[in-house]
Amino acid sequence: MVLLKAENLKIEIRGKTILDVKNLEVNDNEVLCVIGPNGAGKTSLLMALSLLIKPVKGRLFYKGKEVGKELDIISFRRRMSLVLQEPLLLDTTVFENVASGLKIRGLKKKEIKERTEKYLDFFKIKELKERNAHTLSSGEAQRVSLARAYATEPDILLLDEPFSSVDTHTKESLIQDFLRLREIVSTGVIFATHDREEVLRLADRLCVLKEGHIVDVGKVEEVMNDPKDEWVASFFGLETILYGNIVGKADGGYLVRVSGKNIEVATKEIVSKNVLLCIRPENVTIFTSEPSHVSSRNLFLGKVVEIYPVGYHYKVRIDCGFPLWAFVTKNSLVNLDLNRGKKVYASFKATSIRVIER
Amino acid sequence: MEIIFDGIKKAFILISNLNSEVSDVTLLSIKVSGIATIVSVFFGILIGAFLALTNFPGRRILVALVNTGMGVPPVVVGLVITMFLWRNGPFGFLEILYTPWAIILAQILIATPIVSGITLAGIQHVPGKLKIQIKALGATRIQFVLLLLRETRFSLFAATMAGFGGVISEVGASMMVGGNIKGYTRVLTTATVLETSRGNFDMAMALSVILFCLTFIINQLLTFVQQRERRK
Repeated sequence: MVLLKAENLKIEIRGKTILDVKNLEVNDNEVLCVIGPNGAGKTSLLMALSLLIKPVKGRLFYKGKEVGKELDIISFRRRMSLVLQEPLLLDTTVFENVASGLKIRGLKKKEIKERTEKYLDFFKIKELKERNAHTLSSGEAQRVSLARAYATEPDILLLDEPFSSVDTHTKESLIQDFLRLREIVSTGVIFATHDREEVLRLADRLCVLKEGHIVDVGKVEEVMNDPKDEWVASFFGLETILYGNIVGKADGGYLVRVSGKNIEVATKEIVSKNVLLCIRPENVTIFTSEPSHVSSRNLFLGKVVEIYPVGYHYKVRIDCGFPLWAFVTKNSLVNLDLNRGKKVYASFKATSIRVIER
Repeated sequence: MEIIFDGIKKAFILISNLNSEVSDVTLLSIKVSGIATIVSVFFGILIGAFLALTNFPGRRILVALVNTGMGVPPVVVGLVITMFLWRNGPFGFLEILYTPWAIILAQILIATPIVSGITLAGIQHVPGKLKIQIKALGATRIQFVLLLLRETRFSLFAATMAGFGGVISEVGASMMVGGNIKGYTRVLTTATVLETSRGNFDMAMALSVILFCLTFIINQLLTFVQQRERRK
């Protein structure tokens, strides 16, 4: 279901256009990651979608109702929560901070206490509840900020680089908490980030912003494997990134189903069923006829879709049912007589694949 | 030196005997400046918050006016109030010149800009992103302002202290609009001026000690509350 829909949303600051979004939808229970270079308008997009900055024009629909007309702005905002990069806490106790959204909504005392305790517990900050929020470490403070956002049990969660101000250890544990909550509560999440790892692990869909405009939006693998501009290409690096499900065990690893094909990966124990496979293009070998003897576990028949030069190499995109990038030298390109539409075999080792659990 | 020690000694005798003249003057001072401070805090916070959170043409001029008002000499306020309350002045019909109400009015005019100015600075000092965060919590306009005021409570304490300190120690306006009438509009400061000019140093000293202790106690009280809040 479409939770939030923005139409022609435009923000100007002192006459300069900061954001101009023609069309954007956020669905129920999905994580929409917003990426883009610094100053691309990621924060402005979050502010515009919650009407915290007043757009000069445009319309916003929440569950089909136009905000400001069929639904008042305060009620609309009370269906969402915002977490910013720096945890901006009120100068009071941790408990009061987590309870603040609930108090503003005028909930009954008993309910406020129950819900606050629940999320203090969830984010493991129960023992801090009497402390003044301004005396916390940055990691603790960000937990409080997240607990406050979740306590109101919002339909839409706006996260503006929420894990970037904490150390790696805290970040990992916050991501784990986030993933655990994804299973419990159904929330549409709009997640602005500049961290590739976070995108790969958390995003369902991706929205690429550049100079206030959306340059690409879609499923992560679509956006990643077919980058619309240089910035996206460099953000994800040159790797092929594939989404798959574990379907069984294989010799020293697992069998992963990707777009109807089975890929063998060698990796340590995996708990999750959903994984991301990252294959570097230099690890992919191309053959023009079926090789009689390959040591690689993975061999796929495909078709060359695209060839373009990258530095001293050529980058070749092969469609094997899933997209696959490979590097070849200029000599190989000539020797193999590669051109668009040519049928080729591509192989890569099970050990050369990096697996990310989701 | 004898005159000083003698003064101090007699001053303490006057205070410890609860001299009726001294206690009357003290009580009136507390009453007048107390009422003036309470009213000023109310209006001052309203004005300060309004100026800090709104944007309209002419706002800058008003802010400049408040800042100027923070340093206006009490005698100027006294002059203006006197003219307005003069028998055939615009508010002469109120017939409150040379009553405690006139002093209260003058002190409100002195303290309100002080409270507004400090409130304004305090609210503007709150990071813009925290304001956004409070709005994002779903706060209505009133909830937003109340939460912001709670965030700036230290500034508001400071504003109260400065306001009270300003009016309890002010002498010019009280003298001009109150008239320093014995037993009616004579307050600590005006009485001190009078007794000093008469050479009654013991009385003047007693009044000064009380004035000093009063400001000290009130400020100590507010500081205590403020510091207790800070420790939490």
